[in-house]
Amino acid sequence: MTRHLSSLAIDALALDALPRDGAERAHLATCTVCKARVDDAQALRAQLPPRVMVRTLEALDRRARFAVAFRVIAPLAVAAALVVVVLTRTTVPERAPDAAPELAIKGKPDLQVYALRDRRVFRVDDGDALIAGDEIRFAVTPAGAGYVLIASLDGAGRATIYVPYGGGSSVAVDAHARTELPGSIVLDDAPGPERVFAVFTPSPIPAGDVQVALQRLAAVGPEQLRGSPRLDLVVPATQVSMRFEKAVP
Amino acid sequence: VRDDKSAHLYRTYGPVIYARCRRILKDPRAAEDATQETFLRVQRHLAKAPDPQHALIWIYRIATNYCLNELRNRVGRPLPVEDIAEHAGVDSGLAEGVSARDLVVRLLAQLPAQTSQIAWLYHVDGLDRAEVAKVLGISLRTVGYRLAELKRAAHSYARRTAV
Repeated sequence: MTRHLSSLAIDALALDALPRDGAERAHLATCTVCKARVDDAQALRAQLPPRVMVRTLEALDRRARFAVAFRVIAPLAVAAALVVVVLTRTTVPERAPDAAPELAIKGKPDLQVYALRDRRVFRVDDGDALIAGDEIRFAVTPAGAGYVLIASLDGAGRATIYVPYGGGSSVAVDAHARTELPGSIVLDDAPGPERVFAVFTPSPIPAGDVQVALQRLAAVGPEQLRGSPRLDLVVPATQVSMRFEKAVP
Repeated sequence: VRDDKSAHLYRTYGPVIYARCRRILKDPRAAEDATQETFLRVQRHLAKAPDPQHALIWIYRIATNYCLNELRNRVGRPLPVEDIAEHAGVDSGLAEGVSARDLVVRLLAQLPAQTSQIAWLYHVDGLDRAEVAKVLGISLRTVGYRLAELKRAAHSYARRTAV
């Protein structure tokens, strides 16, 4: 073997993942260039700071816990909400016999926000306080609309499309079921109000249209953001929004 | 609920991936972040994780992709034209590794992601075409086509900067 070892071969050697009698080891025994590269790679590996290992393992652990907790808590929250609905309905007087019958109960679209902080997952309600570093996720119930786009505007006027993050148009979801959207958002340290908008439509809409509406609202100022539950969109859409207040921890 | 599989992969491959990120990014702090992000991505796609025999190649690909994106986001100086003319399309040997690295970094912004990865693995890491195809899970023919594309991009870049 006359070619020098590739970086991959050097890393595989470090993991003892190459055959004992392979050409790579034979080459290494006679090549000072590759021997020096092996030594360099070994030195670099040894420089991985222990704190990186600690923080990465914690991050892996936290994410795994969040995913499990989200799967457990979200259905419980839905179940609790159903219990409330059932109890409420049993206390409502029956409709008068001459009242017009309901044709169908379609339900309302809904946006649920869950946050992860210090390994604890909790449901976020309108007006709740969150802090920088909180990791939030979304669940939506479209109630008939097959596409959703989640956007945000904060008190500093920053507009962000959260779902699809970096994407160009709204994403398809099950129109008739509650859907937990993939991915999570880590909140930055800009204090003040932030409003998250869920825009439900029967067909995909460009994220640019929503960005324009967000910028229009941003121009008015943060106080207006607190009292504006809807975006002024050019396309017909059903919207649900939720505001939270970001505080400095 | 400790995610044992992700943690095991990190403990096994973390130092190697950190060294790889250091070599690509040339920045210890950026390499630390890249290492962590690589394993968070590994965890996100754990269902697709191959058997242990092929895990290194899979994680290698994720780390490479992340680091090249990071490099792409950095603003690079234009490369002197004579350097490009010298190295463009040439199978750069390891002795020319630094120059090959500079060339690929400067072309990153103009290359599709897959071509960037191929360029890096082939010209900077010194993998042969078959190894590149194996790491990226693509055909040898695609590797050859993308390397030709790289050569054209390098010459085009050289012509533009010469004006």
